[in-house]
Amino acid sequence: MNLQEFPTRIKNDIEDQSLQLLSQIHDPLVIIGGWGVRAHAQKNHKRYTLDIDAVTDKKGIQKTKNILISKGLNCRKTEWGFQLYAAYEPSFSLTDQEQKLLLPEIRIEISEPCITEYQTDHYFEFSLTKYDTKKIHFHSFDKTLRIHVPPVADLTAVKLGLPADYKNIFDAIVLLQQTSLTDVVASIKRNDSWDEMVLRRLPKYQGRLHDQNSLVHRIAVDAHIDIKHIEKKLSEIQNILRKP
Amino acid sequence: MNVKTSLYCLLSIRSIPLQQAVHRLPYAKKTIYNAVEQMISDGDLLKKRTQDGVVIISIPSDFYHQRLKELHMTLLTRGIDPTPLLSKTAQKIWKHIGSQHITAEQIAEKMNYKTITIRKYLHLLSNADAVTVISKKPLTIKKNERNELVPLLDDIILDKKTNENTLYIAGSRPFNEQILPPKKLQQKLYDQFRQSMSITGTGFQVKGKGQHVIYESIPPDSDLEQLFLSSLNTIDGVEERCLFLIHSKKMEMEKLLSYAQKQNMVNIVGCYLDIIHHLSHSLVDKKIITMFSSYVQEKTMVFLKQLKKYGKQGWEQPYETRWNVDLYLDLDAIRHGVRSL
Repeated sequence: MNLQEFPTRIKNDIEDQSLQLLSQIHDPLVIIGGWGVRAHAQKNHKRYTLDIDAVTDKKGIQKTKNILISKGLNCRKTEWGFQLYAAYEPSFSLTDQEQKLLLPEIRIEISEPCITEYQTDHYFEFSLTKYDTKKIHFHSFDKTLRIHVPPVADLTAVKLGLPADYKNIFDAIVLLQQTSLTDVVASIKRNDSWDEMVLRRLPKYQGRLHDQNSLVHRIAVDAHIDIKHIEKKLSEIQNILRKP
Repeated sequence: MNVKTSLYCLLSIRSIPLQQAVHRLPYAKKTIYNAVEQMISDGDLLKKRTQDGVVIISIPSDFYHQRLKELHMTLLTRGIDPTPLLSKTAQKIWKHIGSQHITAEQIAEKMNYKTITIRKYLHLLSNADAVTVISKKPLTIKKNERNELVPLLDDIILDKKTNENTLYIAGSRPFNEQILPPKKLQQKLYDQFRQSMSITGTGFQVKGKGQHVIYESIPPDSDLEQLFLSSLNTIDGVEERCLFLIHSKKMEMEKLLSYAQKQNMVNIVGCYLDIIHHLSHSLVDKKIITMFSSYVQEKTMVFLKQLKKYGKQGWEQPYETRWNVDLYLDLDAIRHGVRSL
């Protein structure tokens, strides 16, 4: 029994098609989630990101919806905003084997800049005016797209308060290598009670990272990440946040 | 013993310079050189030149050749010549021998060979204790499963069709997972030696070429439903793999219930499916929840032990009551997993 990712060329094509769509939206979307991490970490972010997550204001959401719906995407409301989606249509002929695959959707998820935790009132608000502009490379052609992403400290701060699954942890530790703890802590503290979320998640982050059998530990080792160094950083963040 | 077997026996002890093999084996130089060339072109030997210009010959490190090396060493140290036992005829005969009784005549008929030829090889196999003789007239034998030669011969001769189903995932994982029975896993370790890999449950990890492969050992003939049950005992399993298995719609829920009953896991499975149903009605149908709820077991189970140290989050109580479980799942992480499907 193999649990295998889709063939690389399909994943590359999905990411390229997502970027093509993104290139047609002229509003200042701020790209968060995995793509945001990719923009900062580039090749150090060794995972694919099939969905695009973005934040903007109400006007921006409406404009984005109009553009993407005119391009043939469908729209559904979600708990956090809107999801624009379309069945993925490969830009090349599939092999017999590939034709048997249950192909995913191309998805762009947009919401307002305030990310709220499901079960509590804790939130993190991304700035729509203070952002970095980064290049993202297409896989299949020699082209780049310039996108707006939150500053690396903000993206790290939000990741540290998100659920402790391997993707969020991996993203957080990749980003932690590119930013200063002071900036991350400042960003956490700027956002209402986000520090409580981070303090709640951090023990799980540390536990998973430390566990040799967890996916994130193994991915981190494979990515040549110094786990002890990261653990130390997480402890320092924890200590600073605990201080009154 | 022929020259090729002699070379293999020698190299099973250690890799040596070709010149030394020529010098030490009691065959004509030309015979040895020809045999080496033939074995290299068949992929059965490797030739490497050192910086000093010395040509070293060795046995390849893949699974098949490592098992073949082991077989040569085992036979040699038991005082048995490997040559006839590894001949093409012996290999064909071995494919007809199993744990059920079979006569020399039956094998001869299946292979369209003379019975006398079959009897000759069966005696060789019997002398090596690889088969047990049930009766002499007619000559009836079966595989001697207790003998250490048997798994070696099986690995080398039988073309086992293992269940290598692939479940494709539209995910963003920077690794692949291969869940294999021990023998197949052993084969991968030899054959994919340079691969970046780790083995679940062992802490063993090596960096290497290509995308990281996570190997996981499962009992032979395991199916998706068993894999689902074992995955429910791990954090990554609950938050990711089990969701993929549900999403694939390839599991038989009646079979899953049956296994869960045998392993006292009905409460845990039912509870998990109930949570997933709550997060996405399209992933788990209400009927499934109803089916599991009819078989709730009396014993309270902890779900998931590894997360107990982090305490509860406040949402658990209705599920704990319905399913008689002591619940410690990270609902947010599971929700994130469902969203990513």
